Amino acid sequence: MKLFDNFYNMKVGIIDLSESSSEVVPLDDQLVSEKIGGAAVNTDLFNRYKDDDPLILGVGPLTGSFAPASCLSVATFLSPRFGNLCHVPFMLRTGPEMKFSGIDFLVIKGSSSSPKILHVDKGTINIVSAEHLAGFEIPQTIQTLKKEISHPRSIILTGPAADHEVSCASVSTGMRGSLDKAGLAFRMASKNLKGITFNGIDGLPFAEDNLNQKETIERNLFADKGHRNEGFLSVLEKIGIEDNLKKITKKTKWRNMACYHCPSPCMSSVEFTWHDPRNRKNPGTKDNVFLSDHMGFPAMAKKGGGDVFPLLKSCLRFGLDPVAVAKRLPENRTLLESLDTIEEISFTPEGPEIERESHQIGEIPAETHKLFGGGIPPILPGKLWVKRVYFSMILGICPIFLLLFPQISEFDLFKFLAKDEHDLKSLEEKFQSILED
Amino acid sequence: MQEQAAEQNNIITLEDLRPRREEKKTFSDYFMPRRHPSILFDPKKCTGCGTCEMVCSMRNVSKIAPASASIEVLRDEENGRNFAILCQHCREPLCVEACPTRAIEKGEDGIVRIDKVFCVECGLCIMACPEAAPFKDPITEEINKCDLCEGDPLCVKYCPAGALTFTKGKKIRWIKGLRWTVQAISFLLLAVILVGTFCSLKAGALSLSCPAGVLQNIASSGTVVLVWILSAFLILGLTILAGRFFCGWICPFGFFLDLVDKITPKKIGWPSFLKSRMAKYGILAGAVGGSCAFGFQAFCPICPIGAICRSYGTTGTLNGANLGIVAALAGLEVTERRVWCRYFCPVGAILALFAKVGLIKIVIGANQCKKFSCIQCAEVCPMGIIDADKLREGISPDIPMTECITCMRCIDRCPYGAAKIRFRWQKIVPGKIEL
Repeated sequence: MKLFDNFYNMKVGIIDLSESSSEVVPLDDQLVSEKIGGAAVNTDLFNRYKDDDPLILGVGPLTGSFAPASCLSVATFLSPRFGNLCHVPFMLRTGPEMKFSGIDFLVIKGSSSSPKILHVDKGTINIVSAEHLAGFEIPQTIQTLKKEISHPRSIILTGPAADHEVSCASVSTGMRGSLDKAGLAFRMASKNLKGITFNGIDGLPFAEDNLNQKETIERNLFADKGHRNEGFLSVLEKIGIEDNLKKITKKTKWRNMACYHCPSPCMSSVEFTWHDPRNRKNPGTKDNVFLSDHMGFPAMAKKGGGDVFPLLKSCLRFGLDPVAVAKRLPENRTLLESLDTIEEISFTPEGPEIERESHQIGEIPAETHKLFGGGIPPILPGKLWVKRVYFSMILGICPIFLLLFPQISEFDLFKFLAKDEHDLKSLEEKFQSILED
Repeated sequence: MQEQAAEQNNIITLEDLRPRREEKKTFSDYFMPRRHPSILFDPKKCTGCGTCEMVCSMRNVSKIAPASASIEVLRDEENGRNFAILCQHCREPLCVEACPTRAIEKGEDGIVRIDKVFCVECGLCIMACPEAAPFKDPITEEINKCDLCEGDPLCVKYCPAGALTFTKGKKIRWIKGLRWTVQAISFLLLAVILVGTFCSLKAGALSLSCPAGVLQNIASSGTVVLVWILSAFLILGLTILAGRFFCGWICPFGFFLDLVDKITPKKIGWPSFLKSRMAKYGILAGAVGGSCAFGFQAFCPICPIGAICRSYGTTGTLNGANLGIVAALAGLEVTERRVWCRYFCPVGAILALFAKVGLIKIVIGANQCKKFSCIQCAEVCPMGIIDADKLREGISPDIPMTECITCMRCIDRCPYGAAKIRFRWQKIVPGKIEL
């Protein structure tokens, strides 16, 4: 039985950074048939190339498809912060662009002697030098890359914090940050990999009835709701935002943003006014910050209060995890002092540091939460959270979307993949066995 | 010459293959303009999910391939804003003009299409389009553009945030009908039935007067009578409430000029060195100064509004000199629309001063306005105050209420609902493009 004809390019890119070489090999039919995709296939590939210290980036069968919120790609690697195998989800457009660029999985082996960038385009991988980008802040790096590569459609990259081997460095998807709290940026920096760009200009075939299935799911979801735009704040409310944090958000202008093909945006761009202590000539400055980290905002807001937005923006600029930075910020500091501390953290090399402390996140065991990068908000309780996140990480659907809408069943999404009842049953069995593994 | 030579040599020309379609204006076009279909994009609602690109590419290349979609969502990451690039199906499409093989045509239904049989993929249309809406499909390597899915755009249908709206353009211009009716009734009342009453009407305790006449009266007599001032206040109060509504809807001479404009649609242009809208304030000052010097209302005998109001009707007197003034000023309509109102009318000058502190303003909403692809508001404005050049640059123009006669032609004509009346204090800033 071949379930995944239309859902994969059936190509794996193998990159050896130490040799500065790459090859594209066919994806093993048997592998996707058994493991379905996403984190499950990534784990298998990780185990195959275990000796080469691999970093795996992969998509699920539904990534880029008509299934709602089909935006996910997963990075699998040995976390330098948690010390275990981690699956960090990438939302926004990385997953679909990776798939549309003709490669389903990337296996990045070894480490380069100088900073490198990977360009994935039309099923080919180019390894180019990124020496000139070392130390650049994230916005500067993106601007340079856009000029050099003629506007790549998606970029994941590390900032100066990773360049300086800061353990709490975090990967950024464009200028929008990510849910990486497991040290993926540190792992990329240890391989001298500055970033990966995807130029997804190839297409993906689709099954005729997929559009109808999408419509049915969305119609049922939003039948009772007049407006679908929920934004970042709605997720914060689900995980229990404190009243004082609500006050912080009142004086700002929010614009809700969604990942690829997501009908219910869970991120927001915030326009805020702040008094930049470093620029005395222009006391009231309007600025924007993109909020996608539902764990990072409350953590930073608790420390920074009303200054949370410029502090988060600073973390995004340097490529830092706001949760880890918030822990390091001293209490009752001025904005200027806090900004200076963030800059200091970004430029102070410290090497890998495995976190020993582990707190339960809501009802979710710390170890399980860390397994998925430590950035997925605890929207649902314990076991249900775990099952939904596993499910999303394998199929290539945004985990936050599936946590926000538990009424979407696995069965609903299997329908996008299966041609008939027999396939449906087979998929359910496989998924169950993967979970048990 | 080339065509003649081609004819002699029996060469088939482009004109033979693809004769340019001539758009004939029918009588009904004056009242129910042709459809101008388009997709409106609301950047405030767009979440950047790209569902529009997915479904569009599905139709274009039978694949999910956002790069092959006729609509492109640009994501301004730093500012967290999205903007869509899509064909506006312009009224006068530049791509049609640029295409050397006439492969692009605007159909009767207003949709601009590419006939791929004739397209040689030169890419001139991409360069000519201000939106860069035509594009080279990376999969088929053909030039493609939005064809509005032949009237039922998929992107609009599937946009989860409702950021896209399909409009076929307004069909019925009801404001136009209402304005002509009000203007005709006002003309009948002021110029035929209640002859001379615009200049001064006294009905019992109620006294109504032309504000310019009152000002000249005060200047000539050297006395200020409160009743005179109050009598002028009807028009001035109306101006504070609704701008120069009097000029656009009530003034009998304005109506007369609008009628003249209908028979002189082609304009030869007013000399640029005379294009000073301050002239009317000079005339007003001259009228007041003259009245003061000569001891009578110096401007009233030659006032075209007064001339029209006093010269007709059962009790009116046909005044040859007055008719000469009216005829001469009507003749100016061959140069520009409402030349008198724009540059010379002293009544308009007084009303302009009050409109400046009025309660309303006309705005062209930056978000909805399609600017360079439309420019219809600038074309219909009789006072010529909507800056077409700014629209061509992609900027929503500022509309000076001192010059606006609140005729609402721009509101009536705008197919996108971008031109609106707003209170002065409402926060809509024309001139800025809000992404």
